[in-house]
Amino acid sequence: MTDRRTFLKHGSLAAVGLVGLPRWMRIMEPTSSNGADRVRDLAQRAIEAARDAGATYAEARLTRQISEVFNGSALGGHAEEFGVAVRALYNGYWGFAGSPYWNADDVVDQARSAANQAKVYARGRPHTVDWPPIPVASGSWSTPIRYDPFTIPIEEKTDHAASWEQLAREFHPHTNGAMTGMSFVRRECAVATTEGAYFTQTTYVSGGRFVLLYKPWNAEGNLDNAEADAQGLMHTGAGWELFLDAKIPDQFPALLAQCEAQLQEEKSDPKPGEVGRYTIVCDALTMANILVNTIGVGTQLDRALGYEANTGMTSYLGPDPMTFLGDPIAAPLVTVRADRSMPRGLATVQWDAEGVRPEPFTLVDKGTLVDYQTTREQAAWLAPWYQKRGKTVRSNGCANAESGLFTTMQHFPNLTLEPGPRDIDFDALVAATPRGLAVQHGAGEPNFNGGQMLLRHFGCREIVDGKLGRSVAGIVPLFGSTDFWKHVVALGGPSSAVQYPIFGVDKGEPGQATPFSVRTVPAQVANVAFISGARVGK
Amino acid sequence: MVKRFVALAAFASANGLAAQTDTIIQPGHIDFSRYDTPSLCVAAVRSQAAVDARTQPDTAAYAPDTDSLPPRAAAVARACGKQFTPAGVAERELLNLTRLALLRGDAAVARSAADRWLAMVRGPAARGRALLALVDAYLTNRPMHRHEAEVLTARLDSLGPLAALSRDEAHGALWLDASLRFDVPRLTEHGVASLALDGHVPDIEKHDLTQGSGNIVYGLIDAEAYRSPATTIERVMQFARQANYKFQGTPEEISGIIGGWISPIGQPVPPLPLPFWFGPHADSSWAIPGKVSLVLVESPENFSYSHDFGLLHRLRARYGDALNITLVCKTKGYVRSSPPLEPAQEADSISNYFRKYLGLPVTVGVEQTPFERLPDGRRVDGPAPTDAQGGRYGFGSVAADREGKGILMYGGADEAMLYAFLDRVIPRSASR
Amino acid sequence: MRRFLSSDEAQALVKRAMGLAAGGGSTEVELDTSWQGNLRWARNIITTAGDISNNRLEIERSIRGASGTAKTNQIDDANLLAAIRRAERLLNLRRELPEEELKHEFIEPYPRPVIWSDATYGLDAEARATGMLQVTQSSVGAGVQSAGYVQVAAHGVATMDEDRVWYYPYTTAQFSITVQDAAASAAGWAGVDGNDWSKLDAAGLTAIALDKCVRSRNPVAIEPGYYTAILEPQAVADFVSLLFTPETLDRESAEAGPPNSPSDSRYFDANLHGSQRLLGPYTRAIGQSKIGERVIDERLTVSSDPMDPELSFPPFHGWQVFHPVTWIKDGVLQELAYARSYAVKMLGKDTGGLPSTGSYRLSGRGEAPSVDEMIATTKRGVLVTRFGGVPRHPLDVAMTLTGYTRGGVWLIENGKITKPVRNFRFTESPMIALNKVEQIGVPKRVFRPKYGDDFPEGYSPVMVPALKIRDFNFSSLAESI
Repeated sequence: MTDRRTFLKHGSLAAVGLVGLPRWMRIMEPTSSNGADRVRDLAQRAIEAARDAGATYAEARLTRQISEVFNGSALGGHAEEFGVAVRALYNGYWGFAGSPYWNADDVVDQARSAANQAKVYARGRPHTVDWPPIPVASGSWSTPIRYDPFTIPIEEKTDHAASWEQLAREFHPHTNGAMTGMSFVRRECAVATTEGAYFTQTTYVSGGRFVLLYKPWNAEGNLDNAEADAQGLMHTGAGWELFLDAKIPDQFPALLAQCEAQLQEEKSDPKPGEVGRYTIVCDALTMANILVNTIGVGTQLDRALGYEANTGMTSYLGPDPMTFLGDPIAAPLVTVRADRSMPRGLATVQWDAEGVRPEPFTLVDKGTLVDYQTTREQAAWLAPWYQKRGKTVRSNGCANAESGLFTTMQHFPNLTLEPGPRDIDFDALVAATPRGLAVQHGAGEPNFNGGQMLLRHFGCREIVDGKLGRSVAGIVPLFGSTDFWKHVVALGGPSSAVQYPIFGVDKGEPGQATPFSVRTVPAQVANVAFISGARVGK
Repeated sequence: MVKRFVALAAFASANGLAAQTDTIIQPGHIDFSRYDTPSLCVAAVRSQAAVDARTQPDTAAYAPDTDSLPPRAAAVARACGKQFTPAGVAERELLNLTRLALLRGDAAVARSAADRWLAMVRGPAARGRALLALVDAYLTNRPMHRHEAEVLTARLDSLGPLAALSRDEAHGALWLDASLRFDVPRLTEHGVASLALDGHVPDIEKHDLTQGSGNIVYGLIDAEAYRSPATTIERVMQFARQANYKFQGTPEEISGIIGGWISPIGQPVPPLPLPFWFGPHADSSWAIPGKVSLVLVESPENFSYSHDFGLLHRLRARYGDALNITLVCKTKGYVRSSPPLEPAQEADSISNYFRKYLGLPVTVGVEQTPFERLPDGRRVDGPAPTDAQGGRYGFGSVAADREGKGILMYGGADEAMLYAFLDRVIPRSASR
Repeated sequence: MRRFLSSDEAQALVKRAMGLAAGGGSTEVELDTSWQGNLRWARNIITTAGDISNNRLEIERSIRGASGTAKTNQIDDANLLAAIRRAERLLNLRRELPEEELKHEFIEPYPRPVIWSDATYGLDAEARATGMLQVTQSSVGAGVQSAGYVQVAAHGVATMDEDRVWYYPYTTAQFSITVQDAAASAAGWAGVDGNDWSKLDAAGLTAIALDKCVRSRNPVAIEPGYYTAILEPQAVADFVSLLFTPETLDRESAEAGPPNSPSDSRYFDANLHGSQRLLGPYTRAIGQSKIGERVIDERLTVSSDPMDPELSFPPFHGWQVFHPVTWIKDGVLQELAYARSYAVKMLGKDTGGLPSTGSYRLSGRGEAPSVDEMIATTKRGVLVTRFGGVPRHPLDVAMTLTGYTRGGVWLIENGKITKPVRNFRFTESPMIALNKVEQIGVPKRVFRPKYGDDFPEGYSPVMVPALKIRDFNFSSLAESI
């Protein structure tokens, strides 16, 4: 028998309060006497135990990470992970121990294990670690946010998502809305070192995707399907306010226009592309993916020196960085900077994992390679270069670790492709291209050293007389990294900059990854080689 | 090497571990100060109502005039959004403010928000959609505001052919409510109105209609079959002419189809030979001489969630022993998470489910679904005997009188319609 | 330092967790308790090394079909209580299903492979360091740089509820080494994994990598194009494993085909990857898999078995038990993976589900030449050590993948290796390639550092033979060593 009821078909969530629970508090808050003191005590015990066991330097890092992941507008799951990481240095060798045990006996045991391991490894070839001194880190820092998402009830978050979906349904006869991938992470970290440092940091990552779906009936009686993502929800260092400030319903008219344009574009068949070299105009997302996989990985000093040779990638700016520093690796228009202070950057902190207070630094200055991403130990490897330029030998503050279960190593800072001098955007770059190809949403893979890149997923349209034409299929760009960057002809201006989250660039063994942000602009690049897509299965 | 397992401390050290133990997930709607739009409050009420209903499937009879929000949802409606006024919210929120006001029981604010919204909407198609959305808001609220919905539908009609889709949809919604109540005059009125609009709705927009015209025609056949089987064909064809409705076929063909559909009324019902019966039945069928008999074709999956579950108890209470109800099910090879079952085992299991576990006062008949195995081992079901009856038993309800002659003879009868037909053959005084 | 929880400790933990639950219903806990000892070196010295332990718990609370889960890595009472309350909080937001009381529990026994090695568990820091020193000395002596990784680990995976405790301990060991001579654009690689460290020949692998590096010096560029390729076992595994992941082998997906119609609810799933909108390799048509059809060379068989002494893995995941299964026999697709409910509904069987882990053995029928013998019978071809950069998603319906060669690649002419060549990017479909096989070697265990996602810690060991494949598409030069 059919059920014809329509009332209250939503199955969602609401309050069932549980009484008698301890009130939440942040463990790192100075005012939380129980929590914060206890954490400090554990960290101190660890470094003292390591020192007593013979370490010449030790760090203890206690972390606690909580996350909420939503399935659509409903909470899918919640996870919490604690870690204690102790790193000990002895005669130029590191020992490490990581565990989930936050108690005094275990951290002491663990610290001794780290120190003893270092001593074992130090029996090998003599080796020294130059450890440039740094100001002693002390204090607390937190990602500036308005609303800690973990203080907002699940019901409130899901009611917001459900209301946006409802408004999307009401906006137009054939629109609907879907919230996907909404997630929140808070990571608290306390670090103590035998140099007397003690600092705590709390970082937040919030983000998701709201899709406006547009499904009109077509003349054949089937549903067409187009979708457009709301702006302002990409994962960043923010709290719940990210979702409020995006003002999602205000975006519906623009999103619908995008959907309509999509359907219009799909109506025409793609034109078969011809292999050859083209001037291309890339959107900011394409430039972000290329930047990360070429200059980004290439300027990781450990990769350049072969420290990642057994795993994912090395660097085309190696094996001897000194032969690349000071040389042009990109067009003079190109400047790439790195920092750990980008507003809402996913790698933004006040101190890196070693207690260094990162200053923004330049990797590529008007086309010339001038620096690499470094940690305290690694900075010393470039000492001749810094000295030649009259600069202090200093870590660039890129030490990080995925959690208290992983050892500290060099990870990505936030990266910025500096905008061009004129405030122009993607459309203006297209208009300035008599003939070429527009490449959008480009993603692909580099080769083993980042010196070559293939884009396999992208939208491609021809540019004729400065206007976007038909989409083009059957050809893919395959280019040398230096060749690509040296042929950058024009860059978008400051208003065209977009900040993207990057997750999952693994390094190390066992593999670990930390998130970071990349801020890029669209670009016009000349002489980019396109090969037959059939050669890469497209 | 001996495995070295370090002894696990039963409890962590006692110095202040409370800081780590908080649940982090805040309980409940703490406050509504961040609920700054009516749509948020509507979402909050709905989500609360869904949780209020999480342990109680809705199996009640259709009673929209007296239904209301569960208490906690009503409390959320009262607490959230009392500050909103029609003049103080954005245009896109006025529909939800109307809904919210209705949820809060404030008809005046609802009316005012609706009026304000309508004053902002331009063009017959857009105004049509807005009026339709308001019709829906009034109809779906509990308690239902049917009179207001009717008034708004009349306003919709004044917009003329350019709002045909919205008008069709509104009449379709009112037709549905009337059908669920089996209010024959109203369902006829709105059904005919909907059919009359069918020719004005572009074909491509017909895909968007909730009630296709086919459903509505069947509804009119129901109503006329109830009124008088002898005049059903003539009156249905007359309604179609009145509405200028174009059937897919000649009048003769359509008349033939309608006639074929109602032909079993008054005729002996065809037998339904099934291999497995549990409970009272007449030889190989379900129509028991001397009793009024009703058959429902059911799937056992999640039956206790469905409205039919409550319906069966209400039928028992209303008619007692005078009515025999048979549930007819098909075998599938398993029941829920059971292992593979032979047909006899499966039939037994189905019967136990309805008659013992759910305690329903019913006969259970189980037909054995023929099946084949594909070369890769997959089961493909073939047509079962009820399928062979040309869809008569395909879904819903069929009924026979004490002489075994058909009363209703196709599926989809809702509760009110069932009562209407059955009350005529089972006087209430005879039901106890 | 505490390492990992034993069976008794795991059971005690779960009993405590059960005792903390409130409100009735049932509690289920999945646990992966682990210890790992690692040592990493590069440029011939140790860089990072240490021990890591962890306990990953997933707690599910269920009452009449409504359920909520929470994850934690803490095992003390206070934190267990907090996690359980979080799970219960979620559960109280979900709809109950009264029919859950009628749920039929299917319980099957699981096999008990021997996958614990004391040698692995006992490889402490000292032993790891000593081994590595010997390794690097040979690289230093040859004037090259080595980088590599040793990891030993012990796990206890467990699934537990009020009535059952399933706990299984196992160890894993891996060794991999890359030897580079950057000045000569040369690199060699070797590696393997297993359960028993004592069976991993670190010295032998080091010698192989060193030899490959030396023999790769000063590679020449040769024209990209179609070549007969001799793929060493590692390269075969890197290339074909996507055909045997749990996702690819899923029977229901293979039968459903891609969601190409609006009536398919997956059609509008914004998170669906582009490759999931393509016909998979085991789909004949919408509604029809290729079971019963020949899909790869008729000499090839693909199977997995937790009791395989060379290729064992933990025998369950959750309550799913892994059975011995032959996925492909003599090239013909026999089985695809399914859950128990599919077995009952569609196949009328109550033998449990047929889950897959991504672990597989690829073996051949008939002659099994060695790599040297394959080389000797090749007029012109390319010998490949391994591939890198192979993505997890194919590009098209033919399952075309791309990636690059690594760790040593040579030109073969007239039955001999004549010169090292520069690395290639390849573009080739494993499905098509496994239908262009000329020779099949003896299956060997390979190195699997990136395991599948659907398995505790993702452990899915693989054994594959070397293969000689004709007309393999080396589509361009890769420009890296």
